[in-house]
Amino acid sequence: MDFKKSKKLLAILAASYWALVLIIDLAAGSRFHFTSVTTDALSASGTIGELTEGVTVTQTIEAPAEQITQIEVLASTYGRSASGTLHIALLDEAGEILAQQDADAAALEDGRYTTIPFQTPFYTEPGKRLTLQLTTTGSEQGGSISVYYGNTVTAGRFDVVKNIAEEDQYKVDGVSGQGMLCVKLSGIRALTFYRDYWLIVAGVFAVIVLLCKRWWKQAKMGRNNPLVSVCILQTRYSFLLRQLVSRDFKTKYKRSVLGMAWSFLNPLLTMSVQYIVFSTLFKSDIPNYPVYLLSGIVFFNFFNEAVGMCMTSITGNASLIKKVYMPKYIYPVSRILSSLVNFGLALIPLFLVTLITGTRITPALLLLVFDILCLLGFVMGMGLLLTTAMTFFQDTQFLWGVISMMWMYLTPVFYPESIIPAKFLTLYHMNPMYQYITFARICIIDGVSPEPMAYLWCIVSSLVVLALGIVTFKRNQDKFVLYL
Amino acid sequence: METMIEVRDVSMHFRMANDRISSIKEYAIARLRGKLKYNEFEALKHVSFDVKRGEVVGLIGHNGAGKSTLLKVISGILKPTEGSAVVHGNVAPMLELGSGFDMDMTGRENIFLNGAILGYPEAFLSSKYDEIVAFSEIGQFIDMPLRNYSSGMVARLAFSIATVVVPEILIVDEVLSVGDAAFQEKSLARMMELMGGGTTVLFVSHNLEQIREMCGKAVWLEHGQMMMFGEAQTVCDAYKNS
Repeated sequence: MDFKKSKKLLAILAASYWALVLIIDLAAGSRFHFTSVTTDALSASGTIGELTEGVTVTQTIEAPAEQITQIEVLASTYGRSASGTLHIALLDEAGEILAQQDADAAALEDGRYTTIPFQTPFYTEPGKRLTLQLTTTGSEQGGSISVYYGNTVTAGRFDVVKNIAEEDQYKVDGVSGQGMLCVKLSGIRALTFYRDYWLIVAGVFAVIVLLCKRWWKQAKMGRNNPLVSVCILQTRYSFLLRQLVSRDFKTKYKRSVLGMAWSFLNPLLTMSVQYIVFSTLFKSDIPNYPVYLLSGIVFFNFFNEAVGMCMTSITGNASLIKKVYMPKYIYPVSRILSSLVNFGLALIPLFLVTLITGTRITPALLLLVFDILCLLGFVMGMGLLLTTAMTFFQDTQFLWGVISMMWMYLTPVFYPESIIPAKFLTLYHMNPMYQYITFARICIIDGVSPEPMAYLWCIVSSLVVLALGIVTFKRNQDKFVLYL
Repeated sequence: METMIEVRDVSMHFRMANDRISSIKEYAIARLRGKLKYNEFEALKHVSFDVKRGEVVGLIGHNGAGKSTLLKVISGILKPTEGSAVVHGNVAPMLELGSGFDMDMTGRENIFLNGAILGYPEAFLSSKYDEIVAFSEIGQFIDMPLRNYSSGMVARLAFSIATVVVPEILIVDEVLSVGDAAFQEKSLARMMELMGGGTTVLFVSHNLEQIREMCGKAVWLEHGQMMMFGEAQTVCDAYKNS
């Protein structure tokens, strides 16, 4: 291998690492320092009855964060102008008042959540059970407000009744009601993680450097390892890779009139069809449905196409493998690169639609680089696994056809996540494609950085699958030629 | 003199399943029935020899003697079951010409694709492009898709690309019967030119006269075993008399 060129390559890789780390730090901004959390409320079922002077309503509620900043109340004025004052108090278990806030009953919106910030935010422990106490003054029968309660959760288009423990039910003057009050408590939680961000980043870099040093030493002794493979790929086979990728493109669109335009027409047309079909079903649940849909399609298509192409890379190049010696990983890598180019083209309509729908463009878009890198590693790993399986068992391609369809339905490409029953959510979130697509949507649609946990999930799932793929492929690559 | 190719005790075994099993179902069934038996087929049995720089070595033997397998082991396509084949220097394998051709692409595009597959650098290919086109006698057809070529044209183009470089080690598997008589003469001349330039050549042919004429040494393989390795004339005589 060419040590001088490889050194240059390593320097470029190291620089990109730090660039990425910096981008994440800048674009993620305050999302890494603090995170605001809000408790969930149930869907409103009805009102608890008039809150006249002298009536005390209590509801236990869990503190979502250490600093509580505001409360949202779903109140009702029965469609008339209400009078009086609503007194909100939060008490701890000992009955001590932690915070108090008054709100003018006339300022409460009928049937909608009204946000009432605490004048002085107070501190507590996250997870601590607090008692919310609502009382009114100056309100009379026929002119006072009420608060909604709920006992169901929304699952897609249906509401499911939730079992509520006795102590969690709201109480009117000590008598239990049939649900929980529709109130949400919000607070700010400081992320201990951020304090160590640079430490973690530097630590990871140190590990990579040490690993590379070892591999470098081995390479000097003529031993093979992943570093050597990457360097050889870049220095000796980059021309070949470019040729193979351009071949894939030329032959793909050779006899079509629109040619390359299909790469971005395809996702747009798919989106149009699915938009027409699904918009009545899911539109109301999803803000900015076109972008939601298109981002899902573009990302999932990349996965599907890249893995599918990669899977046949060894069997499809059988005539070449049997006659010319090349490192075997060239074939899957070239297929992945072709798909990546295609994916890059498909991102253009995605950004156009994002602009057209008036979505705010924020620096968070830069975070997509991280997301796409993780996706790339995952796709590469899956491709290597499947192409190995495919070489020994040709059934793999038919099996994969079914599995990839199943996978698409398990990923929120066109439907909202909320239709998944809550008990399956943990399992549902383990799907790496869910992670990558949700990551992208948060960056594009919400214009903010995802939670730090999302980063961790993305990178871990990507690296695990990639490592698995590389090991499997490497162990079996010498046998491929015997099965072609 | 410097050793270019070291073949050390190379054995190549192929497993031939009773039925070629290529689906998980078949595999599982065969496994459960205990019918997963393989016939070991030894394509090469303990073959050892050295080739020094600039030597032209011919490989002779009947069909199925293991000549092509040996060439594939030396070019790195097959990994030997036992032993090792070490090659010092860059190898240009000409096992089957034009294996990397794409029929939907033009001659021009294929020159670059096939050149890249053979491991030539981009700048080198650009500089030699005219030479390749001229030698192949393709002329104006170079910008046509390969599917419109005659088989002779494809073979000529492939030979021209493969021999434009002067490799340290050239591995040739019966490719000199390419094109018409005129082109065959031309390609033979090109081969002789390469051999004269100090290239180490491994060469398979059924034409004993060609071996006697071109090779200094020869390897005689029979059913995977090396029967003889030595002076081309002696080996050819022994082979003929067997």
